[in-house]
Amino acid sequence: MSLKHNDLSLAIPDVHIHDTLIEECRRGSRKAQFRIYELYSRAMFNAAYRIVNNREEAEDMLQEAFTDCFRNIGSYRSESTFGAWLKTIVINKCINRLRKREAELVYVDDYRSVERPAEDVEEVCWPDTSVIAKAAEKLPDGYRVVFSLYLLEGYDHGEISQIMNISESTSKTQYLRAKDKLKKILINMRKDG
Amino acid sequence: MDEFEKHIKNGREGMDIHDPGPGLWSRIEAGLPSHERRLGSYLWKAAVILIVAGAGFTVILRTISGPVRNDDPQITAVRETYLYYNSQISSLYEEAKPLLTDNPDISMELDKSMGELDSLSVEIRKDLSDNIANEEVVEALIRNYRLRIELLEDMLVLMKEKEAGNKNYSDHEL
Repeated sequence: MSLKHNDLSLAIPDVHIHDTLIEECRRGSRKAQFRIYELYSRAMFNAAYRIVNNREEAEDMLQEAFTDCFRNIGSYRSESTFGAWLKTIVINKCINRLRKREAELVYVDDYRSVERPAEDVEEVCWPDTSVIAKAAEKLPDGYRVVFSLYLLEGYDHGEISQIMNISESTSKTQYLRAKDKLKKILINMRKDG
Repeated sequence: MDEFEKHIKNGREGMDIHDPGPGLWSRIEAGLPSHERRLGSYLWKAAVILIVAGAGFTVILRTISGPVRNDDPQITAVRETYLYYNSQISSLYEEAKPLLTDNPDISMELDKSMGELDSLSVEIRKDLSDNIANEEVVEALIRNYRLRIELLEDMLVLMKEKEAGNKNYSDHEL
């Protein structure tokens, strides 16, 4: 699977500034490996958490992903950023874990069936993104994963359709539905005080 | 992109609300091949080479220091071979010496291997002493000298890389 993933959304450097570190990792330098871990672990952990929605599983996935990354770093080519390469490993592991868990991924193929929020939510003053992140954890798995991959990790619907083995239109529908659901959750949270 | 999406994009960093546990790196590290294992493979190679080469040196030294037979071209060739390779190995060893001081783990393993060599070479010396005039034995010894040189060069590269890595790491601005 060849992804043209644009890594701009990730809160980590998007250029090949870690070439020296990566070269040292190839030579087995533990210090360099730890530095890479320090640089990328938080962003990767959050990406993993948003998919599996469970702290222990997210840590397991990160452990496997970093281990694979350092063991196979010789196969990394600078065609993509290191962050994008590492994130692909993390995301694929998390999606596989989700599949093994037989999560009930809710897919809606027909966008016309997507309910629109009753209120004119565009007028709402949205809370801090940390609050939105917490609210997103209440989304059903299928919604949450597509929402996260599209809006936060920067994948397009074509890429998401490959990763999740769904149609592109399903990915789009899932995303719209997830976004509306999340807005409703936030509005209800506000109402509840 | 609606206002909601723009709001999230603008506050993207705030969406990362979790931190991995403090013990996660230890778990990852436990699953990685250790640097020492790589050194170990060199040391194992060193031990095997030095066992044979050490015995070869012993025989040659005996030949050189034995009864004077300067007219024997084979003995002359062996003596020249010994002097040539010994000079190269000594030079490499001198270069490695300060680095070995900074790598006590490697130095200790080498000492250990050398100790084992001393005891093992006694038996090999007996076998080789009967074959000193044999060209194949001399060629085998040359191959062993070359392997010794290759080994020392490999170890030097490894220690220099390690030293450069430490330096780059401490100088690295991220």
